[in-house]
Amino acid sequence: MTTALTGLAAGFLIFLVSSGLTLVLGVLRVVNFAHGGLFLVGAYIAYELQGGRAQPVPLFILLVILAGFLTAVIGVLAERLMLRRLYGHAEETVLLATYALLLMLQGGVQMLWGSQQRTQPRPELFTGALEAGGVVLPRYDIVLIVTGVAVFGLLQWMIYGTGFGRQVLAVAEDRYMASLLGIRISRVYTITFGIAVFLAGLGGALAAPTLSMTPGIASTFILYSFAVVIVGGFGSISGSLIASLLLGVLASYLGTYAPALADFALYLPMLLILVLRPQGLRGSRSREVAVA
Amino acid sequence: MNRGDTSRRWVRRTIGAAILIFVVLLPQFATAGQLFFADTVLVAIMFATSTNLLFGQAGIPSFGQAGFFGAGAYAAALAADRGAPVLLSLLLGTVVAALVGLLASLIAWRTTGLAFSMITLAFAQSLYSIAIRADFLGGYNGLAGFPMDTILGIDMSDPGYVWYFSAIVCAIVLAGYWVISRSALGHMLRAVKDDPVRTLFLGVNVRAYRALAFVLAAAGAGTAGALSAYINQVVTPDVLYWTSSATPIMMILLGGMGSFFGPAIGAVVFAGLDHYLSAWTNSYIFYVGVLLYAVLVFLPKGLVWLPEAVSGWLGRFTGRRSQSPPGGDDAERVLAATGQGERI
Amino acid sequence: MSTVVELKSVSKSFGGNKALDGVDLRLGQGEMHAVIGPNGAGKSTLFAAIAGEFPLDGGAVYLDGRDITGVAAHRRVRLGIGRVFQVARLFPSLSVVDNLTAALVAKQGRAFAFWSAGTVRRTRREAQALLDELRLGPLRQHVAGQLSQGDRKRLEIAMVLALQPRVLLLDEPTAGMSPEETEETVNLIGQVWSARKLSVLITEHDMNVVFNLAQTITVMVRGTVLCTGEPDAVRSRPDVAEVYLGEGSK
Repeated sequence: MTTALTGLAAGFLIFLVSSGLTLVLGVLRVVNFAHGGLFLVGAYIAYELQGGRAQPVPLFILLVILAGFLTAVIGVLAERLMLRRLYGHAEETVLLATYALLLMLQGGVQMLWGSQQRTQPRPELFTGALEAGGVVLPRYDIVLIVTGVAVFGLLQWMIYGTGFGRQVLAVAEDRYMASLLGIRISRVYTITFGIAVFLAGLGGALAAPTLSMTPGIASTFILYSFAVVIVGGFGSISGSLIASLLLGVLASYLGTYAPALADFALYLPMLLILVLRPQGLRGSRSREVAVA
Repeated sequence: MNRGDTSRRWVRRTIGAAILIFVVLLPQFATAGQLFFADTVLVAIMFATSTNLLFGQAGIPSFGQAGFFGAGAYAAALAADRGAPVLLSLLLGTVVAALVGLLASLIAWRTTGLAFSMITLAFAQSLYSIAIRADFLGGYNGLAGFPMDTILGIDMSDPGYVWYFSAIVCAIVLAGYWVISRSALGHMLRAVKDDPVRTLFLGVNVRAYRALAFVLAAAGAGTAGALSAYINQVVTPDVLYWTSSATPIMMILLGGMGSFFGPAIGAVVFAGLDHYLSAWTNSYIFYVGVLLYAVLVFLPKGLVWLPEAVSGWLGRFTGRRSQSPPGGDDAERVLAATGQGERI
Repeated sequence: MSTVVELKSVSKSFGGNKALDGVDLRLGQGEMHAVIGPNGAGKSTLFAAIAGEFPLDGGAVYLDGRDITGVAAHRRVRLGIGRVFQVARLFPSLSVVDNLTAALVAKQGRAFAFWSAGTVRRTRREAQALLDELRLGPLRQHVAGQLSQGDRKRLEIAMVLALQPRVLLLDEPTAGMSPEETEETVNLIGQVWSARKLSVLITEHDMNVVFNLAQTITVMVRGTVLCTGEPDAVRSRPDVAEVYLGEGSK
C-alpha cells in the first residue's frame, strides 16, 4: 500500500510535468523537446530562490510558484523568438529547433551552476512521514498529490469550463476552421504555451527537493513525459493523468521489488500500448490515412 | 553536353582526386593523435550518411540511430574480447545492428509521425538501460581493451595503417549507400518523403518500406559503431543515450539533407567544431544548441548549397543572372527542397 | 454489363458523425458512373472506403465478386483500383518524369530493389511513352511542385494510369479549373476511359461535366443513396431537384 501511494505521488509529479507537453502537442502540434529543459530551469530557479536551504512553507509555496512564472516567461520568449518563425517549415525543423532550445537551456544551466550535483532540501514541515495503519507516507508526497489533483482540476475547468478553453479545443481540433471563426490563433498559442511551460517549471520546482539536481535531469524527464504522451494519447489531459499515475505506480513497485528493472516502468507500457492501442489510452483514431 | 555539366564534372573529379591524395598522404604529416581524430571523423561520416537514409531521404526523424551504432559497437567489442579477428567483428557489428534495426521497425510498426520519433527515442534509451545494467556488457564502464592487432596478416599497430583501413571501410559503406540511393529503393524513399499517401496508393506497402529503410540504415550505423569500438578501444553506454542520436542529425542538417555528400561534409565540420568547442569550454552543448538553431534558420539546406548560394549572391551583385539549379535526369539534383509535400 | 465494384450496406462513422449509412452501389464493367450530391453527402468518404483507407463499420466492398473489405489499401491498388485525389497528390520535389518513374517502379513491384541503379534508368525510359500519351512530354524535366493546377491533375492521372488500373476513382477532377481546363480534362477523361476500357467512378459538382460524361448517376444525400439511374431519368426527378435547391450548375 505504501508503495502504491508513493507511486501515486510520483505519478502526480510526472503528470505535472507532462501535462504541459500534452497541451503543447495537442494544441500547437509541436513535440517540444525543450520541455525537459524548462523543467530543469524551473528546478534550478527554485533552488536559487531558496538558496539551497529549507524554507518555511508559505515562502516555499510562493517561491515555487514564482519559479514557475519565471520559467514561463523564459519559455514564452523562446517560443515567440525562436520557434514561431519556423512553424511554416517542415515538421522536423520545429522538432529540431526545440531540441536546439533544450541544448541551450541545459548548457545554460550548466554554465551558470556547473555540473556538480546540487540539493535543495524540502521545508521543515514537509519532511518526515505520516503513519497510519501500517502505511508510511512521506509528507512531501502528500504535497505532490494535492498539487497534482489541484492542477488537474484546474486544467479540466479551464478547458471545458471557460471561453478560452473552448478556443483551445477549437484550435486543437482544426486550426484553419478556428481562424475562420475569428479565434486569434497567435494568442491561443502563446497562452497555451505559457501555461504548459509554467507547469513544467512548477513541476521542476516541486521536484527539486526529491532529486539530485544535475543538468542531466532535463534529458531524463523528457523521456518520462514522452512515455506519458504515448501511453496516454496525444493531447489528452485525462489520458496524461491516467498514464502518469500508471507509470508512477509501476515505477514505484519495480523500484521496491525489482530495482534492476526500474527503468522498464517506462518502456513496458509504451511497448504494450503501441502494440495493442497505438493511439494511446485516450487518444482518438485520427481521420488521417494510417499509412506508415 | 553543355558547359555547365562539363565544368561540374571536372570540379567533382578534382575534388575526388584531392581527397584521394589527402587520404594517402595524411599519415606522412599527421601525428598519432591527429590520425586518431581523423579516424573518428570517418566514423562520424559513416554514421551520418547511414542516418541520412532515414532522415534525409525518407524524411523520418528517427532519434534511435544511437541504438544501432551502439549495438554494432557492443557486438564488435564482445567479439573482439573473445578473440575474433577484426573483419569478423565488423561484420558481426553490422549484422547485429541490422537486426536491431528490424526489431525497432517492428516495434514502431503502427506508429507514425510524432509518435514514431518518440518511440525510436525510447527504443535507444531502453538499450541504454540494458547496457548499464548488464554485467556482460560491462555496466557503466562498458567494455575496453581490444586494439586492432592484425588484419589479413598486416600488423595494425601503426596508426597510419589504421587510418587506411578505416578509410577503406568508410569508402565501402559510402559506396553501398550510394548504390542504394540511386536504386529503385532510393527513388521510392524520396517519393515516400514527399507524399506517403500517394505512395501508398501507388500500391507500395509503405510500412514494410520503412522497415527495410531502417534495416539498411541500421547496418551502416552498426559498421560505424563497430569500427569506433576498435579505434577508441573502449565502448561505453553513453553511445546509446538518446542524445547521441541527435549528433548525426545535426551533421546532416549542417551539411545538407538533399545531397548524398551533405552528411559527410556536415560530419567533418561538426566533428571539428565539437573537438575545439569541448576543449575550450565545459558547457559547450549550449553552443551546439546555438549552432543547430542557426543552421535551421539560416542554412536550412545545409553547407553543401553554400557554393551555389554564394555564386547566386555574386551573380546578383555583378548583374549576371545566377545559375538556376541543375537540371538533368538526376532526381537527386532536382531534390533541392526539404520536402514540401502535403503533410499528413 | 457485369459488375466490377459493388458496395453492400456500407457504413462508416467518424466520431458521432455518420458519413456513410447503408450505402449500396454497383459499378459495371466499362461504365462511367457519376456520384453526385451536396457537400457532406459522403461522396469522398465513399471513395475512401472503396480505396481501403479505413475499416468499415458495416457492410462490404466487392471487386469482381470478391470480398475485399479487409484488404489493405496498397493491395487494392495492385488489384486494379486507381485513385485520383481531389487535390492532386504527387511528388512535388521530383521532376515530372521522376514522378512517373516512381509510379512505374511501384507497378513493377520493384520498389524494394536497393541493389542496382539500372532499374531506375530503364524505367525512366518507359515513362517517356506515357508522358507523350498525356501530352506531358515538354514538361518532363519540370519540378512537379511548380506545375499549374491542370498539369498537376494530368500528371496525377498519368501516374495512376501507369499502374494499369481497371477501376478509376476520380474525386472532383475539375475542381477549381477554368472552363478551358475543364473542357480539356473532360476530353482527357473521356479518351482515357474509352481507350483503356476502364470502369470509372467520378464525383463532380459541375453538372455539365456530369451529364456530359456519365452513363449512370447515383445521387447521395447525408450518407445514403437517394437514387440511381440514367442521367435523364435522374435529372427529371423532383426529389433530386429539391436536394439541389439553391445549387445550380456552374
